[in-house]
Amino acid sequence: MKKLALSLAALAVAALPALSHAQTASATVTASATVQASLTATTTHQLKFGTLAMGASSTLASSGGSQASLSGLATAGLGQVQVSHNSNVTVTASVPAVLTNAVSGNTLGFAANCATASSSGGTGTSVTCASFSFNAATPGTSQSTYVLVGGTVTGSAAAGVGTFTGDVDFTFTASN
Amino acid sequence: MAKRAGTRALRPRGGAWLLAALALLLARPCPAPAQGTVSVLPVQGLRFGVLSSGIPTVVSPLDGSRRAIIELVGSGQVSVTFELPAALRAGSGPSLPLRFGPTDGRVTFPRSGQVLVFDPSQPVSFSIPPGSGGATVYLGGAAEPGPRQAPGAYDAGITVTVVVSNSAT
Repeated sequence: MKKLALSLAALAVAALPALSHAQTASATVTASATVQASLTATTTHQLKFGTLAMGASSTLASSGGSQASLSGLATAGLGQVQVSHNSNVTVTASVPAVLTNAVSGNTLGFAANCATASSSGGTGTSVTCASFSFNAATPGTSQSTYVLVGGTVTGSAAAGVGTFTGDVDFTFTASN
Repeated sequence: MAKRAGTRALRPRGGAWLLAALALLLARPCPAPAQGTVSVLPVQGLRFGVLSSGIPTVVSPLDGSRRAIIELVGSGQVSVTFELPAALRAGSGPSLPLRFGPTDGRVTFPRSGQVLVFDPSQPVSFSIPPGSGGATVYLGGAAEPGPRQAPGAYDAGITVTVVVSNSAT
């Protein structure tokens, strides 16, 4: 009986190395993606003050009670940029201080006023032209926001007659 | 006639031997495996890049710049398990569904050049022989942005767990 017990004990010890031991290690890697925004801007109307008397000034308001209509082919009115976007958008603009007669080089003073609207030529909400923003109602869902551009041209008899022009440059950036 | 009572008292009984052997067995420390330790080193995440709404993007496990890469350094019999997220998330906001196919997992053994293709949704087991230079695990997958997927940056963690089983020596 003793021999049997000893044998069993020896067997147990001998079998010990066969017991398995497990080591566990883990690590984490990151999966990532960036969904780009959809953003397009199209000028649908030019800002036109029309024909002014020499020395006369003119203002076209892009918002408020005296908001002007959009320009037509031969009629004065607001400029408009249609922005199609599915994310929030920030906007900066470069506004010239003068409109220039390309022939004579004479200039007229100019200042712009801007507004945003949810429909073409719709009621404008005043913004600062140099820097403003508007949001997507539902991020991921494309929508249009309209930027209305009005302004004031300051008449100057000394500037003479002719066509005076200037570019208001907008930069639209999608933000999330 | 003198009795040998003292000598008899010193003799171990069968039960005592058994107890001693069991005590030895229990007291014996688990031997540290001289072979069979594996370190898991994340090298590269799974990069789907810039996506457009409504357009799925697939990253192959063969795509060197975008696949996930995990190095296994060491040797032993290993079982690798991925915790795969169902979607990427933009912070606590919208999610972007992910899909992993049955051939999106790969293991390569640099010395032998062997390649093992596996389904990352299932555990995969293989042996890393001593001196083999370890193994490299690659993971591909697909991101499936919806047609109205909100723009932004999305991410999620993929946890890799490696269990190394050895016969202690």
